[in-house]
Amino acid sequence: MTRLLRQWTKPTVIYALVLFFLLWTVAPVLWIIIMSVQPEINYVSVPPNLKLSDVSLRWYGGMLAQPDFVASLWTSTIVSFATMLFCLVIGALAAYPLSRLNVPHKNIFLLFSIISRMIPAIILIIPMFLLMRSFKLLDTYWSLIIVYSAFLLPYVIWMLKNFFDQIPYALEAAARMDGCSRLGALFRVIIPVSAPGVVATAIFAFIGAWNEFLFGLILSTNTAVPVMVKLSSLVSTTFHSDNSLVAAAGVLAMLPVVVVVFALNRYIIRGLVEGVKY
Amino acid sequence: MDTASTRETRRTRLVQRFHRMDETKFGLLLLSPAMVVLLGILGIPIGYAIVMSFQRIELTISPERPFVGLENYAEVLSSPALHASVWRTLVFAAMTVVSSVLLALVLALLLNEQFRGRKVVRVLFLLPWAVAPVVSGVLWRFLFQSNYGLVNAVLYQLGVIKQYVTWLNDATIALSIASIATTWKTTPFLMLIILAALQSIPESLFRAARMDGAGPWARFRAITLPHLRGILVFSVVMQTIVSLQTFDLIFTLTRGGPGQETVVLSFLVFINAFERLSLGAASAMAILLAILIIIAGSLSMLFMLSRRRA
Repeated sequence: MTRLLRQWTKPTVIYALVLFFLLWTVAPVLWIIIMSVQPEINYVSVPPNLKLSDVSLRWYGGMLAQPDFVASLWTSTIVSFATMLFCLVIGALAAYPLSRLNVPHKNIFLLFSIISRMIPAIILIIPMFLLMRSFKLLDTYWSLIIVYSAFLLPYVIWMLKNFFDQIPYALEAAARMDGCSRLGALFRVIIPVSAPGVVATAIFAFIGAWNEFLFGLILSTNTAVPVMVKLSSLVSTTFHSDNSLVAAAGVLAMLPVVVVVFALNRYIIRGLVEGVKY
Repeated sequence: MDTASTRETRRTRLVQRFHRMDETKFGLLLLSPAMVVLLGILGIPIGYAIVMSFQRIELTISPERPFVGLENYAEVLSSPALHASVWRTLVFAAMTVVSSVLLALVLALLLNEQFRGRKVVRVLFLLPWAVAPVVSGVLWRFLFQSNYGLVNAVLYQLGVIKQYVTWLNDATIALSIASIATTWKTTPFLMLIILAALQSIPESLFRAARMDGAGPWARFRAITLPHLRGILVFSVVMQTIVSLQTFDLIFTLTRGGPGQETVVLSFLVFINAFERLSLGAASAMAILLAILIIIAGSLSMLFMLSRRRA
């Protein structure tokens, strides 16, 4: 009897907990999606009066018709891809000797890259603003790409190093025997063999750049405003404007990353775990 | 002088030198771009920030930046705004660390069980990680908004509240909501790394314990917890570092309000630097915050190094 009870209760408890925590993780996102397809009057009324017949994508249309919002999406896209490429190239070049070659004081480099991960962004905002201003880089893609790359690089090096570590040494030795140069071994053997890891790292860098806010807020004013900064200005300035519009902007701002995470979650989970392995 | 042929030979000589370079030099050559980026783009500004924290800077009045010793630090350390903010930041961090690590542990244990749809659930649990901090702030603002918030609507329907509450206008509640929202956002990452640690525990240990008649609780205490100790300490330290510098989420959730009640340290630095333009004081504040974070960070490093040796 008790055994039967236990057989039934355990799955029930598990499913109940899963359901509860699904509500916790998903409900906030669902609510903004609902707001983004309903006229404001429906969710402002007490009690909320959500109607399936009122569902409309016109608030998305509204946001996508605003040139400066579209420009911010474009800015984020360019900056994130450029940051990703930058990080991958410089990161792979650095990760290779750290993983494979006999470099003196390797531990110092490794320590250095851990320490750089702990630098609080806030300490850099004032000097970064002044430096970018004196180099006339304020409000340009370059300022964002440079700062984001520097911040993400330590993570990228670390992840790539851990992925390179997993490749058997013999594979590379064989390539060298066949007359492959050292750099050739990196680009023709190591990187292709650790492709899933490289993809995970690339996604990580892209997401990091897309979701960044603080430096965007400080370094950009008009021409190179990333979407997160644009969104925050919508929230604070639109007291009387349509909240459905703000909700639609929020959904558009998170959509690319959410889609990527859903589509490529296997890579991402591996990458995240690899990134914290010491 | 510089004919095509000599240029050619010079180039081949360079290529040969590159190929003949010994391993050490080659490795350092490959490392150099990364080092330039890290030292140049992170290192130089940090040095600049330290210098500025000892200067009086009045951008709008004069370009002169006289060194004033510890004046900025004295000014900052005696300001009531900073005291309140430090206290607020510590309370916020403590709440966030405890709730997110505990929740992450529960979620990881749950995902470690066998049930149908586990893979899908795992991805859905990961969702908040993908949502940018700025968007998370907007999400939770919409949930707790006084006139169209989901929380008000649900609680009102259930009869828990008689009328809609202006949650974000209440000082203590606003800080708690910021903490809840940060927990929501940061838990999935901790959950993943705890889950990875859980899955690396050899199944044979549990089988042996079961044979010896150990119940689920005894197995958890004797096998699971000791194996998770390392990753849990790591999570606590990581989460402390992250929580101490929270900025983005609070920026869109409350903008520091009501009044100054959710102005955490990063926010205070931002306000002093870019609204009051007192760059010297703001730099000093940022350095103090960094010291706070470095203390927390070095604890984590000590821990990691000791684990590595073991």
